[in-house]
Amino acid sequence: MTTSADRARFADLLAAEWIKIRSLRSFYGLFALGLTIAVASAWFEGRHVRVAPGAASFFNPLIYPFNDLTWTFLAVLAASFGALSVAGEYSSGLVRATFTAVPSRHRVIAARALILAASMAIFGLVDAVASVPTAGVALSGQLTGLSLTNPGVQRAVLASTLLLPVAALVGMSIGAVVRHPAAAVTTAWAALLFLPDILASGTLNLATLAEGAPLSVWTAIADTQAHSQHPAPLLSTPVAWILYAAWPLATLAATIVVVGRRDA
Amino acid sequence: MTADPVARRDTDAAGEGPALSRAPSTATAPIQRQVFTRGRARFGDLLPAEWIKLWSLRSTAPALIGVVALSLYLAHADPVRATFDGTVWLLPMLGAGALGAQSIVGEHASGLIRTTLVAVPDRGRVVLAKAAVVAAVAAVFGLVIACGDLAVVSSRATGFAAVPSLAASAVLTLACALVGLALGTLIRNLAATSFGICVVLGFLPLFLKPDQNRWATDVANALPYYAWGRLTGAGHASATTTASVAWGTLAAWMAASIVLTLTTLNRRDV
Repeated sequence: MTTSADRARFADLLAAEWIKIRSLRSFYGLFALGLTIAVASAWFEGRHVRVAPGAASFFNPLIYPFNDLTWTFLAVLAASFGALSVAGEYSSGLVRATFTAVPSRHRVIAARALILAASMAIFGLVDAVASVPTAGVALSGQLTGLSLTNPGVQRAVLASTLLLPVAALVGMSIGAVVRHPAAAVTTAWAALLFLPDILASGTLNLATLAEGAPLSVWTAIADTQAHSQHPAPLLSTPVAWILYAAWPLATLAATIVVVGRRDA
Repeated sequence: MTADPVARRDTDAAGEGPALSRAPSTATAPIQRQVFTRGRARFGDLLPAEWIKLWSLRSTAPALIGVVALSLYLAHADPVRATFDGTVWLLPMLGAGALGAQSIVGEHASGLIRTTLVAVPDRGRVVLAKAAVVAAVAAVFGLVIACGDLAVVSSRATGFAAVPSLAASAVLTLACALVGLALGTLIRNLAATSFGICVVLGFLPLFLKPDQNRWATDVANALPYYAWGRLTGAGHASATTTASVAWGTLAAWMAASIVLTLTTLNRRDV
């Protein structure tokens, strides 16, 4: 027990990582930008719908507060922030001070992942809870069901709250592998938006692979796909939940392995 | 290509010998004027300077070649495509944007921009030289991918109006490089600039499509991606405008980017 005073405890690591994150100006910019985009998009999407009388059952009201591209943008924001939280430390050199202070790298990464996931979950929850009534007001008189007490809405809010931590942890692994801030941000965009889009567009005939991408999994769980004659194929809900848990865990493991094996 | 331009200029007016070594001994007006011309970089000197800066980065050539290879592989692998594939063309667009951004943000990051502007205080000429080099490289980059696309497509489709498509593709990547240059000048941080490029060139066209409500359609029609789609007939990526408006849209993006770059760099401390 004599060493316990010298050794940083996990609570100390959490405090250190929280200071690092909150001292970034972009952290607050991210909150403000994300909330603005989420609310503005919910309003915009809701205002531009004309539902013919009696046709309301053909519409999925969830696609207005939970527009897939808006939430892709929020996910990419979170992933970019996660990527920069790792890559930025390498480019500033802070990572050497961090690992000198705490040689146990996996504890540092675990603490950062925890802080990042928690703050992104709050971020996602605020965005989701703000989007639902916004779209509800914009759609008033046309579509109903956008109430936070509705079980379907609650499931969508839960899935959307989890989307940002999942994306942030995927982003952390990208930052650990790529380490160059600009390349990491571009890779985050490619991994979450452009690559699944290319796969699903018929190129390479790998649409099945695109179904497992984080945003497709979110669409499957939150049921945020427009009702149509030819909906994009989605995973069944249980499989989607498994993948939704597997993405952050697998990428966190990858981050720990990569950071542990490479020179800082 | 016949002689080194710097050496030729030294000897042109003075007859023989380098001008700088003669300056102290004869303080007459022609010599002074000549010393002045010798010291000032001409536009013909700025272009090679920017060319050297661009290609002395290790990552430039591999990145461009990588995007060309990936685009052509995707063009080849697509089983259903008839002409240019819009989604795949996001890759060269982002690549060209990154090329333009890197050319200015890299200078800000390393501090080279201060040396550049001390050597050439006329910032407008620096910007024009940089834009010219980046635009030329980006246009060739787009042209190569477009030619490769056509080579793949021509075996399946006939009667394809090739020249406007090739031209539009070259102009698209050119415009994207200038947009990257403008965003880079504005933001000056490479990670944030990359994010901005992905938003403006990649995310906006996927978010606002020209088949939605009036407002979204108008904005989508004004995006380079859909203007290019109108000119190439790319599937799912065509603006609902005439071809001349689409050309005008691409030209407007180029002009606005140049103006933004010029005014921003001129007004800011470096």
